[in-house]
Amino acid sequence: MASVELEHLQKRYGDTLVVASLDLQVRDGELLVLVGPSGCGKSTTLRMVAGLEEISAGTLKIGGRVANDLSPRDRDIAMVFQSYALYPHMSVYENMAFGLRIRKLDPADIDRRVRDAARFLELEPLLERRPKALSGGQRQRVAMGRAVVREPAVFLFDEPLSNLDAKLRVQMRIEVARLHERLRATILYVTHDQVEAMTLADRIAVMHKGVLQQVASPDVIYRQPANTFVATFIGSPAMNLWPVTLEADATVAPGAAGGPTFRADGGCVQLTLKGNLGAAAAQLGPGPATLGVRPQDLEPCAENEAELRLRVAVVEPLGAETYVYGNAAEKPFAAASSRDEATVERVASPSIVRLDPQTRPRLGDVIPLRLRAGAGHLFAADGLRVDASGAP
Amino acid sequence: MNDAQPTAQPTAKRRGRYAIVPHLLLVPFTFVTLYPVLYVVKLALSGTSGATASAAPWPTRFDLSAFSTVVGRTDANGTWLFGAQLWNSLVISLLTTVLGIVLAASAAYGFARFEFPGRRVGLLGFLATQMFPGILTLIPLYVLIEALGLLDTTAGLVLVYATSAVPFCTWTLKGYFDTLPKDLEESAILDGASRLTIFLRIILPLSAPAIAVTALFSFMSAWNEFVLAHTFLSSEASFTLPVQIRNYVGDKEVQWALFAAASLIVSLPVMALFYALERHLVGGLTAGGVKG
Repeated sequence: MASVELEHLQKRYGDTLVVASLDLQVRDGELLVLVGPSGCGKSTTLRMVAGLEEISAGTLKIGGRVANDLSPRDRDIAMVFQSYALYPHMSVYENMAFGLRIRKLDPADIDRRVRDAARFLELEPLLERRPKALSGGQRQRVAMGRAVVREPAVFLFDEPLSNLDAKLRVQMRIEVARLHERLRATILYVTHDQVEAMTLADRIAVMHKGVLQQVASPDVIYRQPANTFVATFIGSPAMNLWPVTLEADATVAPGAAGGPTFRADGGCVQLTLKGNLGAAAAQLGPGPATLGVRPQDLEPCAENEAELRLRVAVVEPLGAETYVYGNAAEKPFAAASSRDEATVERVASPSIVRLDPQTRPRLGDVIPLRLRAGAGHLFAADGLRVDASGAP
Repeated sequence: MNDAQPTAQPTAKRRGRYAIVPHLLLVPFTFVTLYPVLYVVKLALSGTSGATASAAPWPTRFDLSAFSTVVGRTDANGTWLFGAQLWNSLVISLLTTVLGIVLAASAAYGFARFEFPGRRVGLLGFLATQMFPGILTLIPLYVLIEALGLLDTTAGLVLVYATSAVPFCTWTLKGYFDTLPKDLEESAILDGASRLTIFLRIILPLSAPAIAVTALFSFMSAWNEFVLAHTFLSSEASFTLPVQIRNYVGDKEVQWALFAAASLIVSLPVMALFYALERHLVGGLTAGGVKG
């Protein structure tokens, strides 16, 4: 096993910067998931590590050794492709043995490795079949087997489950987790699926437009997103974001720290910021900011306690929970009437709330909502999260 | 769906009735197309004693003497001419095919997978050579072959045929290689395979249908070619079969029955090949049209 270090790694196509100065380390034995929307540069990054794309600038180290100019075969890596990339004219056995035969391993050793991998991946009855006689899930297991038999220092996975249906994807996710558990291998795993990222990763690296946004454990990524992009990309449905103006509230007694208590006023959403939010607001000071609240961090409340009113547009009863999509109700507060149209348009952006499954609001209903205690995030005008908790 | 059915049935019936009209029109066209072929069969079966003047395309006799004369021809030294010429045709066509495919497949792979200066010009150049009539190159080729001392030899003709087959074969194979997923090659690269290994063990086996088609076309064009063979070959023992067929049409006498019988014999291998490769041909010709 080995670590992978990316230092100021950069990829350009002509004038287009696809990956901008990426600094990232995949620790020895770690499963790091590189996640981001299509075109964010994550696959390009993976292909640079594989040696399938040239590195425009920066240094790539595999196992402490600079690998920029090593040919793919000398990097001691194996890759699982989204399209499986199985050789159609070879049997499962031959597909798995191909790389070992190329490297001229002892035939007995090849046979042992292939059969071991086949046993682990439950491919034994399929060894003589051609790829076209296999289901999608079986093909992906063969692709994984082909990587496993190589016993490489680093595994690369390029959206390996994207071609599978939802049920198979769950099964294969478990297979990948099992594989990592068993081999304790260094794995760099690329996906656009945040569920894969959250369930598989030791750490997640979120990329957007070629720039690394945050690297942290799934828990930290979810609870302390570094910026509005990470906040909305991780978590489903996405976090609600409302542009607000922070202002000191003279009507309320000063906060515990002695500073002023802040109010967030976003037209449709208005609340006094307490706890961490209050501390974050104090840190940020008066002015524009973005308030982010996850759908499950809003709860229905009495009309007079409402911090937000949601006019129901779509109801999605999922059995275990109900999601309600809607727009923040028009002019629920006196302040909204004084705002210019553009602002009202902006704050009336769609919002989502998770309710318990028994709740079935009707379309057009207005639900009064408030934040759960301790919930919510404040983001500065540049999109970065203001962290007043002292946590990393 | 149910209420759509009553209207659907009469439409189908009507369509069936109208289908008769195009078929009736097609009958005379089929006859016109088949007429020359049938006439050649009739001529071949009319025997060496002379052709009938009738225009009817069906045989009036069943005389195989023309076939036996064609097959049994010998020269003054007792050399079995038909055997020698058949051998010439086979060797030239097979060598042309092998040489053409080897050159074209490697060229096509280069054009399909690598970016290099002159790639576009090269491809267009190949295409351009196909736009001029072959006869245009006859004299320069003659000069070249003569300079190489390859006139009246198998090697000379193979060289000319193979090089003229390369552009077409390259384009066909490049078209097919373009449809093969690059992931397969990248996977092989990570498996540690060299470009040559990838070409030989991944690309070529996967391109079998396209190679079958291009091989058949090269074989056929070499097998049927007349003008170049007639120009470059001078001794009867080195003739290919099409040149020999032409020889039955003499200045003073035209041996129609022998001409027809020899034509049929020459057509047989190509027909057999077509029949054997029919499935691959359809697969190869439509390859790339549909992914998968």
